[in-house]
Amino acid sequence: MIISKIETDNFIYFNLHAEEVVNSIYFEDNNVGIFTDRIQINTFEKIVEYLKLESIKCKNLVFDFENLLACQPNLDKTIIELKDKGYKILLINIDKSLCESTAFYLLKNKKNNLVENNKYSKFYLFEDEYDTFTDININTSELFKSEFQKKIAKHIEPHERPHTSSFVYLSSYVDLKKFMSHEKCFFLFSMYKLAMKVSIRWSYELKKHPILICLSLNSSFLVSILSDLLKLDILIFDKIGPINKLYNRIDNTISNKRQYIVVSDLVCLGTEVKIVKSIIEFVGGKCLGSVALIKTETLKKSDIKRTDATIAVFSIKDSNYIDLNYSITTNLTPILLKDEK
Amino acid sequence: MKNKVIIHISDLHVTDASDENINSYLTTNDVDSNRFLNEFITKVKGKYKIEETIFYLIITGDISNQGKKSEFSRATQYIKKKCSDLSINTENCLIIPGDHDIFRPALANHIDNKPNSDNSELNRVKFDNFSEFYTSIKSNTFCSDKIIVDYLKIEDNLILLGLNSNLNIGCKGGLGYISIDEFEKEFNSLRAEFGSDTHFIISCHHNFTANYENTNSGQWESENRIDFLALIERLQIKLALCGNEHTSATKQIDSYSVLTSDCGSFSAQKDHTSFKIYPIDISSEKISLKNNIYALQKTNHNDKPYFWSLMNNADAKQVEEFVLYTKNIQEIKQIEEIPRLSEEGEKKNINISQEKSIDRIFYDNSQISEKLYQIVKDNNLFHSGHFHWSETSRAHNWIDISKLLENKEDLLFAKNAVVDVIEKFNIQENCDLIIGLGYEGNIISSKASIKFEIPYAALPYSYRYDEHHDFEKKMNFNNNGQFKRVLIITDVVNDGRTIRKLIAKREIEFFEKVEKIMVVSLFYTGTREVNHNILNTDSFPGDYDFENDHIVSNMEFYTVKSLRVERCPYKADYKESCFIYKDSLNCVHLFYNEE
Repeated sequence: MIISKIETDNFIYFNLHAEEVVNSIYFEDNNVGIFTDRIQINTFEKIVEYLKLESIKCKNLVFDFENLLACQPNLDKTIIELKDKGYKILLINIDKSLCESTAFYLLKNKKNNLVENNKYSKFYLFEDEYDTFTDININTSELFKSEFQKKIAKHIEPHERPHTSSFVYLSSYVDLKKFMSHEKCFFLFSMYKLAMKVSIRWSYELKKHPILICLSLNSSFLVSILSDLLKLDILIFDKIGPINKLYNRIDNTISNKRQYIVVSDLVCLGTEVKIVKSIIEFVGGKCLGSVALIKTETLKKSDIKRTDATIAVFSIKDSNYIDLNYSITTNLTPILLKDEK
Repeated sequence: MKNKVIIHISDLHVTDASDENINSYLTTNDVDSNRFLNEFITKVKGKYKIEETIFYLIITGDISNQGKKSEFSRATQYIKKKCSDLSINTENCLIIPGDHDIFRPALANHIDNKPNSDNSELNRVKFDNFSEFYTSIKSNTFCSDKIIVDYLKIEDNLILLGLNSNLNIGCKGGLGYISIDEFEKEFNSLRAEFGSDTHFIISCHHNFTANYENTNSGQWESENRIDFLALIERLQIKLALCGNEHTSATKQIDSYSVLTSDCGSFSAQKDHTSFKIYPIDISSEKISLKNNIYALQKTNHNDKPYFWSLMNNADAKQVEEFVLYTKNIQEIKQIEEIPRLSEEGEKKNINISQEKSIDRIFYDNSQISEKLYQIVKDNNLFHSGHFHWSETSRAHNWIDISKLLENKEDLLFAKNAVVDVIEKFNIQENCDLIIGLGYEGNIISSKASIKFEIPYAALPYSYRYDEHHDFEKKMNFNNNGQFKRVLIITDVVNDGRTIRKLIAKREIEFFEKVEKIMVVSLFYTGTREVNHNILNTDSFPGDYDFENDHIVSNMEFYTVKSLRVERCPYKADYKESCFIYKDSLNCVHLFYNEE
């Protein structure tokens, strides 16, 4: 299983840390979550096998080493074997000492410049500094968002009905359940990205082992995976959203000594999240905030005053809602769809 | 009943008195050394009444300074004195070597003479003097090739393991290292002996996290450290006792559950000098070790140059106790699946066939089944009362699965148990789709659906379809004949009506083209003897109540643990006749809104 492959016209991208994390948790039974910082040869060999099986014409490969500080001995040999098979390889975000501990360092390309924080933002495993591959700029964040948009667009269906928990109309329904089933590999990559965002946003709080709360059938699957990635306990709130009907006796479920993170598949207007946050805080727990695969940015960033805004890996916002044919309206505003704008 | 207390000392560095650079209060000079020991013994006796206490002594290495026979000879004398004065049975001593316990000249000499010696021979040679010392204390042989060199059984469910982390130490030193495969093999063998509900503490000389040194990996081979940490996490080891750094500390490594406790050097003159005492608090609800740190106050007074004092943990930034286990005492929160016992408007004529006489095929891994049951017991997850899913679906017991899945380790165990069942029966072979049923089924399916790289969908419990949004109820896969073998993963199966309803009613269009449906659950709560065919209607006994059921005969069923729940025996007049419900004699939990 390869989760992070993103193919563009110019190159194929792989995030090696994401591959290592998923490989180690689900295939090697090493319960380290996202906190591993070393790539194993068998993880990389899966990419090599994948390249053999797939009829991929593009020979430009990008391996993202972000969050990796070490590699198993001989990994460099495996990568260089790939080079010998005719692939042009670019390593990005590679730690300087990691790079220098491998045979990569013997390859000289004038564009292999050390940029900052002891990292090579780009390190070419070929010597031709005039190759057109060296002219390509890679923004990994935009690359991911663009791929996410491409994939989620296939699972947005016309809805034209009121939102289930807020008093607005939605032009479309983002079927994340379908996305999870039909884009399973990329969904896992998105979960990895979400876990990394959580680990950065709450790096201090994670040491106190906050609890992940699931609110719906979809979020129960998300929570299960996030528990593997972040090594956190979970709590099932059965069930809030999209149809609210709370069965739990929450007074005994929430501990006032613990912190909580609410996990949703999509946060539209955040009604369910607010309900859960209020419940948690009413009984003495602390809600750190909420996380979701997708959120809608209905306000401009400058107008968001609270610090507990949802963390998501993808936003439906002013720059993409028309392309996604997703809009939120009320009876007091005209529905403005793509064709009408 | 006597109190149980672990005394943890390390890094004694008993040094030859003729050495130039002495940094230990314990040398081959008996007078000075015994004075130092007496101060320690007096302190311990002052804190604990010998006759009311069972002491365990753990020494995490560097007993000698250079591995010399003369040093070990004195060390034997000093340790025996401790044991004698504190009435410590030497069977209660756990002694593990450190890198200073290797006699390097002998090793170098042996390598010169026999350069092709294998590791086993080199280990024997380098621990030769230590082995002699070990036997003089413990009266048995030190196994220089083993990772787990010894263990102490403190309670039936609490074992302290001694690990040898020196197998990569050579003539010129080296770092801590544990062979992962060997350790796992030895550990699993012990776990099989003591049972899956046993709690293990490990101890080793080398520190795999640093308090003094400017590195996160301590004095451990960095690659091996990552694998070692991952392994002890997987083995659910919560506490590691170590030495080596001459610094008393406790530390949790980011993202791991394991806490380390370094007791410091017992007798260093120049460094921080300390030892620890861990009184054990063990009950059915909790297992913990108090963390008492004793530091040597060096006054340099003529009359009393030093004395031991108990440190304040808060000031020392150390935890008060190491909790290995706590029982969950929270009360009932949520209702779990129990199939409807009958349902109006779904009457069907079902032909009852005689129960076929076939060999039983069922999941039979008692280690996993019993561990799952242990989690239920430990957390009080089996409840009695009146649990009520609809007017027609009622039971007097209920297993709180959502609570069972809350703890990340128990959750991981449940996911792995599901994976184990699948692998045992090779269900993943030619399986075209996995369906996770309900919140809990969805949660425990995640690992299987990823590991086996099989398409996945989640569905609500069939009896709760009406409570879900249309999109949540969609299978999202059309079956044009490509899904021939489907695996359904759920948390609890009673008589299987819920699953038959899903197959023959809710998703009938999809399942019409399915040839084989495998069902895997954590628990079977029904009344029949578990067998792979018991969910098929053609296997039912003649007295089975078929009202409102659906005919399905292509299921294979496997479960991790069978745990029977009692249904509410009363009929439609239960509001009057079920005294638990009527008089609220026990927990009465309605899982729906009464109209």
